[in-house]
Amino acid sequence: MKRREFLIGSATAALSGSARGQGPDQAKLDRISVMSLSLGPLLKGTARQGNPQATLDIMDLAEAVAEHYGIHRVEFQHTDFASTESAYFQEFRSRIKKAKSQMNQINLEFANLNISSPDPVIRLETIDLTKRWIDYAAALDCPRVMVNQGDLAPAVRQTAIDTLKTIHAYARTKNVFVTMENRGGPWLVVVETIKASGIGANPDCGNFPDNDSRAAGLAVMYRLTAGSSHVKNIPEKFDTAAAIKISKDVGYQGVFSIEANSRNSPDPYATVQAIVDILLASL
Amino acid sequence: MAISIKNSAIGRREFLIGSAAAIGCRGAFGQRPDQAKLNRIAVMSLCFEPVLKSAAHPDDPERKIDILDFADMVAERFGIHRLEFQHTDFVSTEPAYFEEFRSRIKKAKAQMNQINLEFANLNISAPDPVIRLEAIDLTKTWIDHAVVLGCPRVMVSQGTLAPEVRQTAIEALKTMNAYARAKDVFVTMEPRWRVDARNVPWDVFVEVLRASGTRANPDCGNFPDTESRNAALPILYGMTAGSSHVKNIPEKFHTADAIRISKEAGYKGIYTIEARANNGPDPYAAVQTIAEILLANI
Repeated sequence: MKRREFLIGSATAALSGSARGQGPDQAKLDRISVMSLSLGPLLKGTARQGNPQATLDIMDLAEAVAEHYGIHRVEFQHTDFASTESAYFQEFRSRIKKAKSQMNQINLEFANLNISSPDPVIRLETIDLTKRWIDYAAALDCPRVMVNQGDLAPAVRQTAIDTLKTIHAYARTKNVFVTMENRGGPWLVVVETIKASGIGANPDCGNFPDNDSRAAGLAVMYRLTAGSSHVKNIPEKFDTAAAIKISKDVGYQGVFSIEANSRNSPDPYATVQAIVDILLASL
Repeated sequence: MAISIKNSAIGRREFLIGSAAAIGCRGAFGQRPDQAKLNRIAVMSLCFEPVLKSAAHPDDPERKIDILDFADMVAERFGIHRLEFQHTDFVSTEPAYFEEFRSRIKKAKAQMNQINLEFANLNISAPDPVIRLEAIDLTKTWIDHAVVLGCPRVMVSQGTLAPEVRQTAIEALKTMNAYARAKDVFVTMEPRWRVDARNVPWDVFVEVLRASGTRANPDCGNFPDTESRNAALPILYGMTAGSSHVKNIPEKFHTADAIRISKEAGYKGIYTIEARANNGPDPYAAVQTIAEILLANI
């Protein structure tokens, strides 16, 4: 990590301790993770070629997060990995280890494959590719993979559940959890699918249409996790601290992984820092 | 080879719906065919696509053959003991299903020749590196499946191989090939040509094979004209991993000529029959026709 990257962040986010005037509670920091997506605009990549802000190599993300926030959990998209060869994963793992960090989850967002496909061939390809990523998660010491559920429409729900069961059965043999988050659709459908397939929930406190459904959905979903959840901060719509309170009320002891929307932020580090501050104040 | 309908996994009706000429390999060929020649012939499942059971067409009364019975049917019908499958034929990729699949092939004293990967949305020519990586990963998984199924070859779909993606496609192929070699599996690719498609010239295709270290799966029907076919096939038959495809398109090509070219190139591998709709509505008869051409010319 070069000095220059330290300086481009917000002034308040220079170091996790100094940001709050005192050293933050390490036990609380240990329950926080940062998603690569949150620092997306800073990451090098073909999609951001020529962007002067995109200087952070994905291999350095763990170190950047550790140095910036004192956080040692990182969460990745499967699209972050430039290769899936053993040598690349070995290097990736060693960089995470060097930062004394832990991979929290890999989120699988296959562009053309998901469990809700009506085509059995596509579902089978989804199973096979997900299994492969479960193997990769095991190789990267990552305890969880999150799948994309597609639309879970009534016509495909049962085959989607059967597909998830197959994926889940494989994952259990590799000591990896399969998770699914609530997205735009009805949260109850996601919960029913999670229960029927035996996988874990990845509650996302920002992915609800309104406060009523969020309050109802989160209380159920935090009980169904595999130890991790996503935290979005959408102050114009939701009180983020209220979601943390719900999680505590139901006894959730897992990780809060920060999913900051920094797409249009001039300072993605600061966007993440704002959620870190909410979590530290609310946990 | 004698035919036993009584003990067959397929019913009597399936035996009767084929062409009269295809009632059994001895009768079909008029005399007992040369077993050494039959051993160089494989049949693609694709030839029987209209009669294979399918989850996409559960109510189609013509679809009576379970893919698990395919080896048995081909052995009994044609005396051929080599089969080639599409990856889409497999209804599961779980170990128990593959074990059953393998045991059915063994029971028919058959051998899987190749699995053809036709991922709908993934191929090596994708400009998006994420899609290429997914294509590599899914192909690796199928290479693993090929090992489990005792299959020596997987054929990949090359996509467009357009100039702007060609180098990254070659790199993707190299990665697949390195993985496959470690598993004693060959990665192959066939020339493709369709009237309505943006086709890759065969010489470009050969360059990609050479650059990536993968092998050719010559298909004698996939050329725009006889001239290009005659130029390409001698080269492609010299670059195989032991297998090729045979289409019969009599209105366009002389199939026996392609066999002659292969022999002149010293090709000793397998000829896999790929009968298609242009060969008529009866897949049994269509396969039989190509089998007869092969037996007469190998």
